[in-house]
Amino acid sequence: MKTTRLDVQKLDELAAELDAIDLRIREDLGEKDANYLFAVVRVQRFLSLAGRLCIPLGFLTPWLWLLGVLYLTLAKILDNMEIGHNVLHGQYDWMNHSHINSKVFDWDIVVNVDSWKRTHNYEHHTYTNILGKDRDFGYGLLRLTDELKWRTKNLWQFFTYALLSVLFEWGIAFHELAGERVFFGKKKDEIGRSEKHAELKKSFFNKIQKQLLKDYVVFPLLCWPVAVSVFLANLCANLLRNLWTSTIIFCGHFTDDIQTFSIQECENESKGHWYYRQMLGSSNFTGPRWLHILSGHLSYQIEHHLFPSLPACRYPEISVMVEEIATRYEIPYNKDSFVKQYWTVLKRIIKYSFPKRTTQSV
Amino acid sequence: MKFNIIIPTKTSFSNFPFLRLKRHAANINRRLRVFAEPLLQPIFPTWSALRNRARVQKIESIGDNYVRLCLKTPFGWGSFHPGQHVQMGVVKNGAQLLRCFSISSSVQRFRKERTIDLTIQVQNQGQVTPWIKRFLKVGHTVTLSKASGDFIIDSKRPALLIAGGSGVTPFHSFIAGTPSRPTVLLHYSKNPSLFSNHKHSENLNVQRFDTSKRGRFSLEDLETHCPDFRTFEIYLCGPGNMIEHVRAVLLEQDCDPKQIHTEYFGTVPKNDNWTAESDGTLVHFSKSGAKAFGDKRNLLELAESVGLKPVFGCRIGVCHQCKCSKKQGVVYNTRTQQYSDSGEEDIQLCVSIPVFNDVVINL
Repeated sequence: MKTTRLDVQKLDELAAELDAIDLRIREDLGEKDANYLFAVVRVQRFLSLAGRLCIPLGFLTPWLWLLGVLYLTLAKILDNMEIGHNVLHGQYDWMNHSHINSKVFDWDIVVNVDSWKRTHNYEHHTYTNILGKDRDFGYGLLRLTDELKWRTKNLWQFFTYALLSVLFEWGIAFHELAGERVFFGKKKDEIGRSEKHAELKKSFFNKIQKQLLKDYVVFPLLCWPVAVSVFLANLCANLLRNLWTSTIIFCGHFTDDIQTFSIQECENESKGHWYYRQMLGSSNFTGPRWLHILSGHLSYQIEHHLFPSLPACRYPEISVMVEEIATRYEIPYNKDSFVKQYWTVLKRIIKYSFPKRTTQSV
Repeated sequence: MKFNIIIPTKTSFSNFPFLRLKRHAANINRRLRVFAEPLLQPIFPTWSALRNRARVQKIESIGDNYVRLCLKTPFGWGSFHPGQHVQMGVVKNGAQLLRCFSISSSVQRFRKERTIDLTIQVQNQGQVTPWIKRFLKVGHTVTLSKASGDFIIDSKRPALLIAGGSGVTPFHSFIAGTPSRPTVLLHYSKNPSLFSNHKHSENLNVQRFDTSKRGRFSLEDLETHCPDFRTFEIYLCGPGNMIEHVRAVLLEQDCDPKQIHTEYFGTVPKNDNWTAESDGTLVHFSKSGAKAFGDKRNLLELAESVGLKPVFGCRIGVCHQCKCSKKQGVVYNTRTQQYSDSGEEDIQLCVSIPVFNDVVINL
């Protein structure tokens, strides 16, 4: 199902209107946005501290342990989504802050920041939904469109998806190395490849080592008599965070009506076409405010893809303007409740598990 | 599929934590501070994870165009030498803006009270200095870097200090410490009386010249007030053209270039007349030492044209891969259509065009 593409003039007009929004919001950024970010960071620190304190006290009553896991999970989700993801996009770089900026910020997951910035900020955000260029489309594991050739492994891709969700941070950490075929797969001929691979491996293992030591060695040992319960709590918190982020991210690009593009379509594309592609390739979901905050405002995926470096807390107000523009230009604006969007994701994963049924249409 | 499992190489073993304890300790300390900052700052406003913070103790207006701040430095800030400067940061509308100012108070007072003075010239079109004059109040905190700079007034020989305008501030730090050697200060300014509060001592000879009445520095001034200048250590501080002029005169008089020390002064005011089209902007790449003349090309292309290989990604300002630290100068962002601040900050190379003289990029 593909909508008719806009013509060149329309695309230029679209670009001008969206550029104007970008400029208007950017000029309005200030103390309010900085204070919002600091407030979120403060809440995250409180939750994290509370979680780490409650977990070892779990020997008093298991409820405390559960509460601790919940706090820690929420802290990890905030750190990953509303703070980490958005700060690493450079959304708050205008603040010129000493450590909350895209150059030095580091997050509480096993993903190396530099690797993520290359695959996500650069590849995924520049070549969104271009098959063959955006490795985030199905992560090289799932077939989510008929434009991709069907393989036998797609038959059980629902289970691949479930596994990916459980191990989401590991999948993202390994993403670039998988693409560069550092460990396995056919080697690409490239000059200086071995140095590049050594560099990739080094930063990959470095970050993993840090995270594993922190969550599974240092913190359990600090609470020695209850080390096992702390170990398990950290494992649970990481697992829950993985499931949450994976679910949110799948709702942004793999819902039912999301469109894909070919490399030819996007050769020498105009800025208008880039905007247009971002709108067709993303989907929003609605919900209460806490849901938006816990999703890092990726519930406004369309706005995020149009303006990846505007502070995410502005997306709600931007979305009103964008939706109005979308209606005027007759561009589909994919928005629905969280549950409904997630349902279409699941359907899509199942649907493309099977080869295209060409015989029926004849 | 062919499996080529590669065993982790030596590099990853040498990263084993216990072999690099010191670095890890520093890292953990940093992470703990960063973690604690949002929790502790409401209670201890002068504490900060990575940047030093100082409390404003006194603000004084000097004439219409100058402000003197007295700052209480935090513990562990270190010390300074007369002539050095600090980078001070203020938060204006959510954004941290950094500017360099010379310290104008003495080392002795710092040792006694842990305070320093910064004498700031208010640039009417500037981003920061008018803000300081209007909004900064006693009790506020500012960030403060450690003192730095090679312009250190500290010689075994008699010192000749020649200042233009607000370039006199670093010399105040030296004079206020009652110099033990013969010292001559020649100060050229449109309003020299503004800076007349210094202690008199037998070693010190201060001469002030009103440039609006009698013009620029000349050889006669030198011969009248400091005839032995060839045996002096000479320090120049002020606007670029003044320094060039004085230096040329001194060199003509057979001064040794090694005895002349200079510090260029004057912040760059923001001016609406600048456009992205203004060309001939000199760009310094400070790490590599390369220089390039800016034209309409962006800084990424410019850097590549002189053989540098900065990291880049999308080249359209989306991905922030080419983010790089700009030490000074003004650049125009073609994506946001905004001029940058003139202080230190991070910029995206691929959408930044240098617009005002002496853009310094950390590449």
